[in-house]
Amino acid sequence: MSFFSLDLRKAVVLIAVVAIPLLTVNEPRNPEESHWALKPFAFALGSLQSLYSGFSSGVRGTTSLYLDLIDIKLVNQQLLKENAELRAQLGTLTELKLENERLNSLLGFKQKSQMELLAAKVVGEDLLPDQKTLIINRGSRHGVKSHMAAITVGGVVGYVFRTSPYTSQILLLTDRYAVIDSIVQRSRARGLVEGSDKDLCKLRYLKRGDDVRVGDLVVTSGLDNIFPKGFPVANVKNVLKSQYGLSQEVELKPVVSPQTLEEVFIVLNANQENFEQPEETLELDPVDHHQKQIKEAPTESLLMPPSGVES
Amino acid sequence: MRIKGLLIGNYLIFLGFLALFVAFQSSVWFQVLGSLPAPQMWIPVFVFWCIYREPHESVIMTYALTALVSTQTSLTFAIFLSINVCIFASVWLIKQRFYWSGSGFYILMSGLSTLIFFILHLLFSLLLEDNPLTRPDWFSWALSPLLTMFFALIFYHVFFLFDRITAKEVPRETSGGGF
Repeated sequence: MSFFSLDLRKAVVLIAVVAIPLLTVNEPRNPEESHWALKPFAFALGSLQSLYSGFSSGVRGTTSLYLDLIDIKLVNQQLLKENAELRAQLGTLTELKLENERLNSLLGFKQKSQMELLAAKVVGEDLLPDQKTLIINRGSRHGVKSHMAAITVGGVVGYVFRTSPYTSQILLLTDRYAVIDSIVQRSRARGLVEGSDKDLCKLRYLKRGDDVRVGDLVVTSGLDNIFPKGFPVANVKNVLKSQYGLSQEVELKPVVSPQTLEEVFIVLNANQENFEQPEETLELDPVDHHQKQIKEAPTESLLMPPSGVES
Repeated sequence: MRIKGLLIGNYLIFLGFLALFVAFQSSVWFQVLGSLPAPQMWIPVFVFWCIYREPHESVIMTYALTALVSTQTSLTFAIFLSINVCIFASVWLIKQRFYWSGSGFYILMSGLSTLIFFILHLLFSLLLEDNPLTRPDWFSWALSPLLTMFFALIFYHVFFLFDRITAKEVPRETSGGGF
């Protein structure tokens, strides 16, 4: 083969390979738009990249979700534990708050009253279910004697019927053996409050003609000087008048619920305390210091609303 | 001399146990569980002495137990003693007719004695008192005997332990007609 005999096919290919780049170099450049020849390639590769991108983001998302869930679970357990501890603390603090309010109320009552009072805590109750007594942690060594009144801020609880050196037993006014001399505050009708059952008592020995209505307040008469005069005992719940008879039977609901009592006062000396309204105040005697004190609205100032008191 | 000492020791152990659980019932149960009816924890002690002692010993325990327990209730001593004597008689009569060894009879009698006590209390109150019991606490009447039986199950083994410690012999058991 001579030097000048060329393969035509090979020559064309050579020229194309050399010429095309030289031609493209001279074409005007427009970077915003790709060359028409490259668009198919760009489209295919772009689609593939989108596919890969979606796949990898899905994998990343799932992985991070799994890792987050582990963290969330740990944080949740910790928060639940903290929540439980805080709830327990809240319960304790609420109890302390209520106790504080109750004791403040008792202290205020004791300070404002001219009676000699001994505070006592309820530590037990009667052994038998049909007897209603409470046991307190004050006894004869603290000055408690039999038949001393037991009261709380809102009303009468009962009276002491048995003492020992360090404890005493209080007969609740709902006990069948309890008897308290009382009057109806509105009409001044006088009778004896006797215990009936767990929650109720009765006002007995009222005359048939005595004016008693449902809702009336029954207070202590104060004649025995065991209870202060005019101290709330119970509210009239029902009035029963038989067709014949000299008396009427009145059902009462005590103002103090014995089931909720935690502290009581023992009246060591009533000192002629009078909880009646101002118009009942005695004539002024310049010599008697107590009678000089005119109590304005004594009921509201001394009887603060405690817990366990039913209006 | 030693036998007498052991006998007195046996009496004192039971009285001490009685005092402990009477105080528990009136104080701890009330403070922890409030108004939930309490088991009559003195009745299992009483019933044990009615079943597993000679009659004269049972009567002594009836009086001693009444004296101790009556300090924790407003029920009058006379009525309380009368009721307890009736319970002793009931337990003794039932034991003569129906008895089987083991804790079953004792537990059953403890529950039954609790119920008998409440019923007799109502009857004595209606007969003897000016202001009688007219509205009993029915829920207590229902629950208290069951709780008493539960505690009797535990006390049964404790009481026999006391008897073993103090070498107290249980009277020869009388077998009744059975069921």
